[in-house]
Amino acid sequence: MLFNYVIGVSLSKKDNRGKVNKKTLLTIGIISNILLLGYFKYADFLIENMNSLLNSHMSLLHLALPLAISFFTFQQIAYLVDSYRGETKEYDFLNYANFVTFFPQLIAGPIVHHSEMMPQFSKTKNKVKNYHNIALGLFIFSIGLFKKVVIADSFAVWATQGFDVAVSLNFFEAWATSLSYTFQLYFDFSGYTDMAIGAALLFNIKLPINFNSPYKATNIQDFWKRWHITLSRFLKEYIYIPLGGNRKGQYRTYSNLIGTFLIGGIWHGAGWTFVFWGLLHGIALVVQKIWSSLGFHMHKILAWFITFNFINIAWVFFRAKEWNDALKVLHGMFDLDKIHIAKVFLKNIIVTSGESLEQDYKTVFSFQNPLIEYFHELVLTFGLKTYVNLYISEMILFGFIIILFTLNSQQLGLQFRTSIKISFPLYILAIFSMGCSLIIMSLNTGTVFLYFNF
Amino acid sequence: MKKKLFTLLFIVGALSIWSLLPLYNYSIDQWRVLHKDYHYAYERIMINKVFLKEAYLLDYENKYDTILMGSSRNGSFDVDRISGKTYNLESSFSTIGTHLHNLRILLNEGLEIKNLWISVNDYDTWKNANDFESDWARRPYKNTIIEKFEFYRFYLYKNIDKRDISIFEKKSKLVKSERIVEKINRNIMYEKEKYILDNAKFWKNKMTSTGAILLGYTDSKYRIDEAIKDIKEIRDLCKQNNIQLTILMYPSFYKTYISYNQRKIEEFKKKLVKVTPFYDFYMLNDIALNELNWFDSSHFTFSIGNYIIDNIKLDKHLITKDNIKQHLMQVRDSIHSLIDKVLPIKYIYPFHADIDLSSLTPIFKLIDNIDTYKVSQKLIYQKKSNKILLKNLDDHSSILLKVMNISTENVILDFRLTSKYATRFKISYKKTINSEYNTKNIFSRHVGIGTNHYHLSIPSEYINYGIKINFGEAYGTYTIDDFTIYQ
Repeated sequence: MLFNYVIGVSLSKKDNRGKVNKKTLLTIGIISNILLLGYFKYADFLIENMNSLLNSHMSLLHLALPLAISFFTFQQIAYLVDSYRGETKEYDFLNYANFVTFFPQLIAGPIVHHSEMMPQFSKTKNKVKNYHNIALGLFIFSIGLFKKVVIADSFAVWATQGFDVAVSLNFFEAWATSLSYTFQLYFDFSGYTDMAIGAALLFNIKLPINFNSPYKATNIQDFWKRWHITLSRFLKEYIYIPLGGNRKGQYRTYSNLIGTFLIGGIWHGAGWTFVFWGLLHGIALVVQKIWSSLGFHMHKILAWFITFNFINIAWVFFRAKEWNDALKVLHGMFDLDKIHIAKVFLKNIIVTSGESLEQDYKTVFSFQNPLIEYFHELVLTFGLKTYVNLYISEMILFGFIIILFTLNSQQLGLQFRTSIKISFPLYILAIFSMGCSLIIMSLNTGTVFLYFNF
Repeated sequence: MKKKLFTLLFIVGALSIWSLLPLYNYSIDQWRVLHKDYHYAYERIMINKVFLKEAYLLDYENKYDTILMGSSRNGSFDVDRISGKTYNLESSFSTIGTHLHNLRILLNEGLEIKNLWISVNDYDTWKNANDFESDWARRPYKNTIIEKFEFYRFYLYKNIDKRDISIFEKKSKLVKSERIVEKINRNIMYEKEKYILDNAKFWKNKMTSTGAILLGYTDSKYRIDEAIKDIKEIRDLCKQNNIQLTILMYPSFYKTYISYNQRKIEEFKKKLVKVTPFYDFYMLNDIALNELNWFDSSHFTFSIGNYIIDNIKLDKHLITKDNIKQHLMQVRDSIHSLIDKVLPIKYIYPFHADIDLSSLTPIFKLIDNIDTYKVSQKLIYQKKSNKILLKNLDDHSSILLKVMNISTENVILDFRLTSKYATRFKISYKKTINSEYNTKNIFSRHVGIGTNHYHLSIPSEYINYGIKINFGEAYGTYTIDDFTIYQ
């Protein structure tokens, strides 16, 4: 941090009479950051690939990954680049340190920009207690906590069962697995972001939004304008545009897009599955650009359907620990033979409530969210016959309803912010979210946020 | 609502919702732990006996001077036979670790104990008492503030289940219960026992045709040294507090006995006797071999409970460092009793492969006779030193053993098979000489990669009519290392 601060200050100085020129200084700064990130995050990946290429037996380092290294490395690189460009002011070190280590967003973003954070740290007005911000912060934090603890962690169990435990998956299970992860990742990551935004507001600090209903996107470009917005911003400003962006012709634009997303993929994790995920998104963006340039149009619902399914399938590679896990899930999703098994399974549930198939199914998806189980039991007592192993279908349906038909936390936050008096439904939503999350947290311990690894 | 008021009401509201679950759980309290209620229990719901009994003892600390600790098998002990001031601290599935934990608390709380009886189970060789920390019905009593906090949090923030709802809907009622306060309900026990004796034929048939209760035993993980360490600590605590310690090992029903790895039990006994003498009822003796002595394959009858207490008082069955060697030899030889007295078990019954069969008489070895037996065309065999190599070209290929003439009711098959594949072997049989081989209820067992060892008790009539053995469903080669029938 001190190293980056010193280099940043040197770069931002107007006179250029130092012994080392600014470009060299910037290069040293960026390379040092990337080397550090590379050492901790990618050393084992590199060694594994070297071993496999050269048939050697170098031992892996098994280094502990410093918490949030990917996030603070990007933030600091952006600071260095902007200092070089002369776009930074002379910040004091304390504010700089606060910018890099600000705890609400440190471990999983949003990736903040110095220009939007450091002025807030130094503003005297922000050091005064502000009930408006506290109330809004608590509201957004509660929604984020609910998304993470109640929704994402419910899907997490099924995703883990499908990806990591099951040996093979039938059609129904494979789709349930991939959709579970798609929902888990969104609710987990956006829930965390909401909590970061909410917690920061308690200190009168406004963080940038990071999600805007990404699964409502009707094309892949639209998706990246809604998903992990601050990462997209970074990739665009500090990789895509420096590579030339769309200024150097059509083919160069395409290669820049793919290159940017390959870097985005490897940034998420040290593995070929991440690289492939980045490649898929890069290619999808190129395809979309070509499609648009040809002047084609698609019906909105069909466009949403294709976009959502592409994202869902691409997440399979993002989640899978090994290629084989990804192929296992994809094989189940698209193997027509396995549809038959799923049909028999559903028929048995609906018509005969066949024990054996239910049992088989339970062996894969046997866990339920305690809160959902609670409501389920109540449903049973009113005489409505449902089945334990259909929780996952209910939850997936619930997930679709939330992502497609409800206001997102930013929109809810806007309602909250603009109302002089808070309405009763918003109050109930806030206390219900917080109360239920506290209950679930009291029941379950040891859950982790997905994005802290990245 | 204004933002300042919202902030205040948010905290109140969220905490109120958070407190709904503990309030609900407190009001229901399936296991009667939160109310510390040892007088009432819900119908058909197991209370947390280990907690409530300990709580009861601490509430009535001067009422008893002798404590009998053990698992639910202790339920058949009439503790008045020991003394009028004896309390039966029996609780389901409790282990030596549980007893040590309970003893520490009783002594810390100043309970004066003169005599302590500890009953040891076969499952003490593997079961970890810490497992019960996540078991609602078996989580033991706690006495430090931190432990109590975690203990009550565990019950208050419990997920609501079907039974909670049935209690809430008054489908399960709270009724007066003597399970904690009373030492034993003699009438019920005697009635149960009378029923068994009055229906002896039915009971024998029932006990021979049902499997053993093994409580999750898998022969893969043992914690003998940990259990012995716990017993040492119990012994030392008893010495420090002038408590007379008596340790006994429960008898076991023969089906349960032969399902266990007896080498491990022997190891446990050898280590136990180095710590303290103990009374050993765990062997294939008359108690184990008579179905009428058992309520089920785990719990012996009231009469056997009386027998155990009376024998201990007469110092019978005491195992010391001096007689352990001789005793274990007798135990090993007692496998004969299984052949002589118990059989027939009327179906093929597997028992633990590590039970020593060396004292039995081998009457047949496949290696010496393979040429005279029918082998499927798709099965190629080759004798190699003392083994048979099989090449299986069909998933139904089998060996048909020739008709034999064995006079005893059952025989024991010692069978070792080395496989490169995970598959199953199957045995089919005829019920009469002229009937067809069974197609239902074919006996089958998993074959793992590597060497597999099986001991099977087989009704002799199956052997006499010629059994059919499919050594492995998977195509490929197998090695039969041993296939010996003992009588």
